[in-house]
Amino acid sequence: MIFHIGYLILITAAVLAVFGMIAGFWGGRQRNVKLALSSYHAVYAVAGLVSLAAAILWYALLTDRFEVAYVWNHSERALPVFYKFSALWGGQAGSLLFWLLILSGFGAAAAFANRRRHWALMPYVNAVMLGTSLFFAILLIFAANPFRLASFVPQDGQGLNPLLQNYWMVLHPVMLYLGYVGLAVPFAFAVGALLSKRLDNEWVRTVRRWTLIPWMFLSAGILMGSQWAYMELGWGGYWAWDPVENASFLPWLTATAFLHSIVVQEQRGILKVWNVTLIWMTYFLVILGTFTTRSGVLESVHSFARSDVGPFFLVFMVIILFGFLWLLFKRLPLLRDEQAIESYTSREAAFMANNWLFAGIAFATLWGTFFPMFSEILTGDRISVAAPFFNKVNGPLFLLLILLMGAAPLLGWRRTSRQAFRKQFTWPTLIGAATGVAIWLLYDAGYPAIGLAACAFAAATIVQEYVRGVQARRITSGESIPAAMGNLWRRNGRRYGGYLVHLGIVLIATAVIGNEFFQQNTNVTLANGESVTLGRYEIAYTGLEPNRKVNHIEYGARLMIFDQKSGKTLGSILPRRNIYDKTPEQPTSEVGLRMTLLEDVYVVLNGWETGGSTATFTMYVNPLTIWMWIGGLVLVLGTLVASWPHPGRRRSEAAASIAYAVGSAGD
Amino acid sequence: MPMIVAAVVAGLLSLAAVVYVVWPLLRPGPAPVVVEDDRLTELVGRKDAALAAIKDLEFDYYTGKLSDEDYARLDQRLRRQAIGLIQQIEKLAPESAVMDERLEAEIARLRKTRNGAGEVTPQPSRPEAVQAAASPADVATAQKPQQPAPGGAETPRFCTECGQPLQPSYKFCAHCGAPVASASPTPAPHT
Repeated sequence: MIFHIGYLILITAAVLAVFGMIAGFWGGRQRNVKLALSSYHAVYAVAGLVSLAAAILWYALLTDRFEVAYVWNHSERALPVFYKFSALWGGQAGSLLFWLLILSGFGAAAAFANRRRHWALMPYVNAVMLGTSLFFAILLIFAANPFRLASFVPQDGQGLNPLLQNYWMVLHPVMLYLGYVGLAVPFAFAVGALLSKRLDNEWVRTVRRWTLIPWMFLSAGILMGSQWAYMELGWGGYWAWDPVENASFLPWLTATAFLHSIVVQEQRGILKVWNVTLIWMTYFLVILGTFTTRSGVLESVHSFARSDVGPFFLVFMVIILFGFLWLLFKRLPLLRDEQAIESYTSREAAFMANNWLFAGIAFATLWGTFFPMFSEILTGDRISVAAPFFNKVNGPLFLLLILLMGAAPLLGWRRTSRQAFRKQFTWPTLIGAATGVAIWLLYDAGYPAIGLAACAFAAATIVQEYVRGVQARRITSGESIPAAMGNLWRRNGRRYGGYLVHLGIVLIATAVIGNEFFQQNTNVTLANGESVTLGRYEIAYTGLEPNRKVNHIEYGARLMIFDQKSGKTLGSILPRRNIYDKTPEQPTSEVGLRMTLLEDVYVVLNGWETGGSTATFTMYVNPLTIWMWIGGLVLVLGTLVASWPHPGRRRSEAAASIAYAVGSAGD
Repeated sequence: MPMIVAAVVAGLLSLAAVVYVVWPLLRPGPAPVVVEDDRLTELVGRKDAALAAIKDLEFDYYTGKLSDEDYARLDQRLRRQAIGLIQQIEKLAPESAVMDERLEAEIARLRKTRNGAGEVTPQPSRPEAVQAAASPADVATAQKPQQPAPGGAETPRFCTECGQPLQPSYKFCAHCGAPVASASPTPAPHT
């Protein structure tokens, strides 16, 4: 009974979303306060109803109500509570409801945060957020009802996909959704600015933090996905350029470009058309990514026809595409650049180059992701492009991007004089060159030498920026070094938080280069007591250890690791296979891992014979991998510093509201 | 039977949500209209951007990204731009205040809180650099709207884009071609 309520209130939410959209668009056009307020109320009401629907599905999952088909298909009695909770986003209908939950939550947050500000923009923003909510509500009502009841009451559920029974897999989708869905907010502001013709810097300044926070979640989500792939899938790597990964990476690329180019618009009044286009592309790629992962179109075009949600997505994407282009075309005269770029050695020129590189990487990735689909449609043959394509095309672009990341902050706005140029670039260039030469002499490897030289150059510029920033503060206000450092973050967090993010990216790039060029691996079958040498390690197999868990059995193969030269014991690891009771044909792998700052020993248990007398392993030594995760933490920290509100900004917002007067707006 | 209960509960929840959403429309009286001066909002935004740019430029200079000449030149330009904007805001503010008395009340309230807070310069740690440009802004918004700003009577207007001086009759800047924005027919501040 309660599940019927869940379905019915989703319908109410959809109806209210339609009403709120009309109120928002009409109220924004008329600048009518009553209608505008009604659009705010619609945003809150939709968020409330959707939360209630999600709570009902959670209740069904946690209390094992298998008469609900979704619970039956994605849960079971023996599933740990933690995973029952996360089963909400473990299947199609539930994850669409979760999407809608986060979307309506973001909509309500954006509306609440701006309830007394941006009165010209907000009704439109509410309307766009409600429009997106409406689309997902329609999907849930017509194509993927999470509250559909089975025709009988099953005794037990079929269990959650074993690959998803992992901590990272619980967190990773949440982070990814928070990032993905959150990017709808800046898009809504862009549409609001276009519709209200308020195309000055107001929306750009408001949107910066609403982009940074989802961007942070998206970055963290992508890295957690990599971590999961590294720990669970057991092929020795963290990124395979598969379509689902690319679906999350594409909007990340355009959102990163957007974050950089809005700075240029704010400072110099240029790139206005480019900025609205970028955030629209980001939003489009978010919907496209959701579509590709939901409809199965990338596994085979034919699965598209069988998918329930595919046609809905297609219609929605056409609306976004043409609706936006029409709006952009109508507003083109108002988006004239206010100035021109004065010099190629200026920061805005470097930002432009950065944008081109991001767009290039995004295009190559998009092309590679959809190439199999096009080839199947056009020729009937499915030709996939694999990781080497992406690495060959994107590798050099990323290298240029890292060089630019180092160089851009050193340039001044408008132009950089020769004298300043020399002063800024001497040390970082020397450090980068020295690193490159050292790597080349030590390992006789060209590509990694170039890559690590670029990383060292970028890292050196960041250190130099911090040193000079602290010096500048000490000159002007005579602070102590720690106080100057703290004030750099507090008062100039945008810049110095940004540098921290850059540092995180440099660390991640270093880890990628280490893995790409210096990985060692071997395939080996060991009898109990036998050992093998890999890199500077000797690894010995000492027996199989089965272990019964609540819904599966873990088989772990104990391995001892010794230093090959000294024979000293370094530790033991336990690569495992989990065999789930419900899906024994689909065993999952837990790698055995010994992480150090220099390199990881990474072992996958492939199989064993006769109770573990012999066992087969794939073993890897992965250099520098830990820096990828450390880099991720630095990146998140940097984003928080960059988005933290600081005293100066509050003042300017107060000043901006001088220009308002609302006739009896009430609340 | 349970189906009916479900329908009733869902119906009540939906009704509550619908009433909440249409509530603002049910209030008596004509719909109030947001009085917001787009031009003024834009000018205030631009002024803030110009002040932030002055601050940024100074920081770039101290961290060695600009030569002395470049700094002097660009700083001059940005300051002229900021002053030009501030003068335009002064000109506009009284008119927009007349449009609705509430605006004046709002400004007075904000003025009070802003003065109360005391911290009006964007970066108080280096006041000497920003003060010159920032203080007229605060004077401008804190003053009685009718009173012209100090210097406003003699100083000609400046282009908001490039900071070059403008003749009162200009509709476009002779230097950069940017349209001279003015929401009012008032030609110059000293009339």
